[in-house]
Amino acid sequence: MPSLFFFIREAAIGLRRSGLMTVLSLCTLAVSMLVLGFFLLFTVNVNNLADFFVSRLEIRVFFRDDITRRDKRDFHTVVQGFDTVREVEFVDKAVAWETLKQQYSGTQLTRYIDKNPLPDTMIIRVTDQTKIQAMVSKLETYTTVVDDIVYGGYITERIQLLSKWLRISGWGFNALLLLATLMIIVNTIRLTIMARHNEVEIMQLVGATRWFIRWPFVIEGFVLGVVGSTVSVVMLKFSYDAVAKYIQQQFPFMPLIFNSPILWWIYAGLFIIGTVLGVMGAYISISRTLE
Amino acid sequence: MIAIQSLSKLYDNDCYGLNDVSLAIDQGEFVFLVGPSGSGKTTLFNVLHGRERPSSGRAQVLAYELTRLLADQLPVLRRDVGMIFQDYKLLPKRTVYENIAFVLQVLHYKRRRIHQLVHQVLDLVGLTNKAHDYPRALSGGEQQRICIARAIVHQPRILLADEPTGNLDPDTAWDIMQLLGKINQRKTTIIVATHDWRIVNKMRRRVVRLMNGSVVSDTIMGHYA
Ligand SMILES: Nc1ncnc2c1ncn2[C@@H]1O[C@H](COP(=O)(O)OP(=O)(O)OP(=O)(O)O)[C@@H](O)[C@H]1O
Ligand SMILES: [Mg+2]
Repeated sequence: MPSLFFFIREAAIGLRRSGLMTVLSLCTLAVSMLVLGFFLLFTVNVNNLADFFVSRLEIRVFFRDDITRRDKRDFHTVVQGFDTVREVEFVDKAVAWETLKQQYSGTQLTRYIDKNPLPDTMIIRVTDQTKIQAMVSKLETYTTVVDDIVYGGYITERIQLLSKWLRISGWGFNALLLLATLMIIVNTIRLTIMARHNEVEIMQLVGATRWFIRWPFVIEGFVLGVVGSTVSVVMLKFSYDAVAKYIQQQFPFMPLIFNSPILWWIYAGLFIIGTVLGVMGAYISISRTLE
Repeated sequence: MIAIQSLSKLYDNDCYGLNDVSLAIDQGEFVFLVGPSGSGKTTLFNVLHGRERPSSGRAQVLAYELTRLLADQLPVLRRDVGMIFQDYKLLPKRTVYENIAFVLQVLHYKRRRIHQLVHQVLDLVGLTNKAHDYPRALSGGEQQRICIARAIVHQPRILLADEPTGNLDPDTAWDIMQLLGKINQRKTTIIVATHDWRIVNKMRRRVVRLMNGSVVSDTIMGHYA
């Protein structure tokens, strides 16, 4: 086995001699990775948004007026019995009325409504939003205690469906994109190798083994992958930060992913994917040429 | 060394490149392969060099049975069988030095040894001063000599030379033949395909004549007339 250094030098010579083709492959790789990265960031943000809305969903149970403390306690025990309950909050009707009055202090609510119209309320937050519906239908059977239950049922269903759909299609799309990227990279690198088809043939004619011929090309692919994905990750990071900052300023309540470790995972992932694609692209292309 | 029995090569276009050729060549022989254009000389070389698979018959070269050659064995065969190509096949983007050195790099020679051997062989073909030129900057005859240098630098046991003097003036052609004769004295088996009857007649070596893909004569100390 000749030294790795030999193959690295051969790869460097190859990259330099193919000049324009090298630049072309590099650009293709960087642009493909940029597109992939953009959609990855888009997907995680959409998923995050969906999660955000879904996590806001809560069940509000309005108690009947004629029940005792004890009824409430019993009901509380029932609720605690569901393993998807994250948090239970009691809102006393008097407190709720005070809060409401304060919120609308300008309108002098009391002038139109003399008696507190609000019921005692229990707010249930759950760990798994998909179980809301099932839970509600169970709770509704406690008619002696429960007057009404509000949980944004239709909305919940819609958002959950949308979120699920976005999640699946987002990742599906990214997988397709990854495949397309690989194909683009393979074909671009194949073009550069085709230009050197004669060279490869002559190498075979003077007794070079396949691996001897392959190594420099694979190293070239590695270098293309590292450089191309670094360029795309750097561009992606700066443009994402700029765009996210702008959106944050315009819509402060938009739950964007910002300064989160998931971003670093994505950047690192893109770098690794780009490098692997470069190596794989070169390997597949050179192997096809060697057939 | 080389044992060929009833070897045929049928190309995809139903044209016989070789038709029932039988031939035996010993270690250290010097053989001229003659015949008109299209008689199958290059085809025979391509089979012996593993570029074309025979359609039928057997061909044993050194330890390799060519009809059953595995892909892994091909590079190893080619290290023992050097070939001077009719169309040179030099790497255009490498210098003369790099073209020759590549064969040795393939064989994992050390840099110092490569340097030494390449300069020796360049000296032998008289092109030391062209070491750092690219092939396209050389004349046809010079490229031919580089091709010879590349084919012999690793001292293969068999050397196939396809028209090695095709582009050379008579004097240089004769020099090249002398050179091949010298290499032959190192026990390298040499087969030369040529149209050059003057050289064949002057050298007085074994002559195998092909015609339409078949051997029509095989004479020791032969003539080409
Ligand atoms: N790749 C190929 N496909 C089809 N037919 C071929 C191929 N190569 C050679 N032939 C045919 O095989 C026959 C022998 O060709 P070959 O090249 O061996 O001749 P040659 O003796 O080397 O001729 P020359 O002296 O002109 O080099 C010719 O009729 C040629 O047309
Ligand atoms: Mg020929």
